[in-house]
Amino acid sequence: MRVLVVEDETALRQQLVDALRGAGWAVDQSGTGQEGLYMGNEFPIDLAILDLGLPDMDGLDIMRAWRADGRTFPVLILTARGRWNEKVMGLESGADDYLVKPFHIEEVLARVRALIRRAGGWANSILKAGNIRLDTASQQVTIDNAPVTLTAFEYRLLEYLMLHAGEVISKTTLAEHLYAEDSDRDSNVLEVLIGRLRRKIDPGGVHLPIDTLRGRGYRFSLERISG
Amino acid sequence: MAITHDTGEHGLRNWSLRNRVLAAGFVTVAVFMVLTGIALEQAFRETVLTASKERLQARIFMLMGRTELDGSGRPVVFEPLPDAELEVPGSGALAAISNLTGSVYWGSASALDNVPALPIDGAFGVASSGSITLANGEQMRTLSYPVYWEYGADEVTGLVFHAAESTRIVDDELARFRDRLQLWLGGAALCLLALQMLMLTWLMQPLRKVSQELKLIESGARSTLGTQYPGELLPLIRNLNGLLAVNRQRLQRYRNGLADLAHSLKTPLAVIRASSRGDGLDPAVQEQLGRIEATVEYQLQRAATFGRSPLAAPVDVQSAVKRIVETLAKVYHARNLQLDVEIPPGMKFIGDAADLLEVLGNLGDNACKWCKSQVQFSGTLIGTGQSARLMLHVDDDGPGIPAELRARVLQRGGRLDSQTPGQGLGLAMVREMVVEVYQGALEITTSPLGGTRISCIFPGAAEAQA
Repeated sequence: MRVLVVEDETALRQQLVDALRGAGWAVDQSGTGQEGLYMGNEFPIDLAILDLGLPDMDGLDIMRAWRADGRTFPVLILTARGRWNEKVMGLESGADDYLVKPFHIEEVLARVRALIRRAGGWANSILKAGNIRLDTASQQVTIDNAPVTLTAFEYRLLEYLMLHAGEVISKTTLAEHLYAEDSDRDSNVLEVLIGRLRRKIDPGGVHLPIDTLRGRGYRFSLERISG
Repeated sequence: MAITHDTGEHGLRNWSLRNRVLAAGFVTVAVFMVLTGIALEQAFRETVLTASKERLQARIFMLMGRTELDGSGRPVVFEPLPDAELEVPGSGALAAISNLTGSVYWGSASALDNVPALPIDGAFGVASSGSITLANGEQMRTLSYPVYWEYGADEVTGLVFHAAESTRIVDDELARFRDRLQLWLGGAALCLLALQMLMLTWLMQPLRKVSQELKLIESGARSTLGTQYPGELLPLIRNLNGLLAVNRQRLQRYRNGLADLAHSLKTPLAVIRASSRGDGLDPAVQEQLGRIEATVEYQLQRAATFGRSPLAAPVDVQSAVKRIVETLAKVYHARNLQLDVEIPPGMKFIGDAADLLEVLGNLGDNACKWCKSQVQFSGTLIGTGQSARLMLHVDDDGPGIPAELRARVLQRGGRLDSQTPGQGLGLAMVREMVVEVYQGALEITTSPLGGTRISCIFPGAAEAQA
């Protein structure tokens, strides 16, 4: 998952970025409205956290511009005023949720998780498909009720595939959403990682949760059970 | 601040300009017409009287022309006379010849041999006017003309020629004139008044336009007064527009200032909050931090509440509730709540739109937090006219608030939950807005849905204007 943070206050932005990275997401960041608008339009992000009180541009205008350009990723707006007038206008201009400053970082993470799940069509924080159970809050994965130990990147990979269960996802898309803009990417590395993940979540090779579609990408193919 | 057309029920002092001008015009026209009538009638009366005298004189001269004296000096009149009226009894015309002592020698046929005593005084050769009353009470205007008349050989006798006519001839003529005069003057007065009303309508048009444009500003349809006004009104219009603009700018500056203040106070607070996450602050610092946050939040909310301002458009309640419901539906998407709106269309809230959203948002958010699955917004108008009140209910099917705790949740700092800081001040803020800013009331009761019902009552309400 790749998240964009647009916030002009450096200290707060850094805290958000750290917390999001800590939660296993790839993060892009911007301190100005102009740059944030550009990043939202150009980068393959899965969610944006947008401060409404930017010095160079009204956050609502950025919001509207994204939606007008057909960007459908969920947006969490941060507002200082906390007046309902502002919240209503924010959500009317296309945002999906709001948080009033000051907030607990945990609250931000919870909202971000919920929005990403909602965008993937999952209502619950626990994603279940076939014999796999993935808890997005605690980042725990169990297979047939037995816990499985995954690396942070493997977890992110599985979470992304499960959130988009049934969809064909190209290697490029996967790379774009799992690595931040400045990271080094290599599709061969991705293939190796997919292989390692398959061995961990389907050691017997019975369920075959991840299909490889030659030349097109991957697809998580187990049937959704809940959420 | 609506301009009303006062109908004068509070005495002359409050009479509208229109009524004043109309009343003044009416009095002027009435006085002018009465004086004109009197003057015209006087002039006409003199003319008619002069004509009457001339008629009598002509009759005397005609009579003299037809009279000769016989050998004994008695007058002989050659009849019939050319003046037909003198031949008809009761025609109101009369002629006679007497001697200087009043003995009648001859009377016209109209007198039926019953010639009344006629005045005989006056100088020779000079016609003198007089009046008599006949036995039947009829008033006659007379003219007597004493003359010396020669007859035979150098003999002279004194004769008096009389002519008379009934005063009713002149009176009838005068009455006819008066009738016609009244008709014309009355008609002229009506025309003048109608013209005056038209002029007044034309004259008052700019003022009416001001009033209409102010109404449009009040209803939110426009923001300034136009500039198509007569020169006398333009300075006033410009000043009003200036005032409106200054007011709007000030409000906007104030709002922007508040937004900036909120942003610059709360962002550092957010930084502190976030940084204290891992390492953990001293509990005393945490507590003070909480107090700062609560105070900042409270004071900003208070300052952002505007209340009623003149020339502000009434707010449509239904659309405000729908906006809040759509927002809540997005925010509480995961809980799949049933949010119902039972607000009749056209219901208006008199006050600031942002204030209404604030009240509805806080109450709605609260209800969504506590409900099991259902939240309902409803509204009714109580009373009409000046005493009309707008009542809004927000209901939920949650656990409800026990009666003994209801008063406490309305107090500042008296929230029952201890949730995330900075996420609204809840009911205390709403209560303060409704009760202190809008002079309304806030009640907590048990909802028909089973949970809490919070009712806001706002004085003053406007219904949909057709």
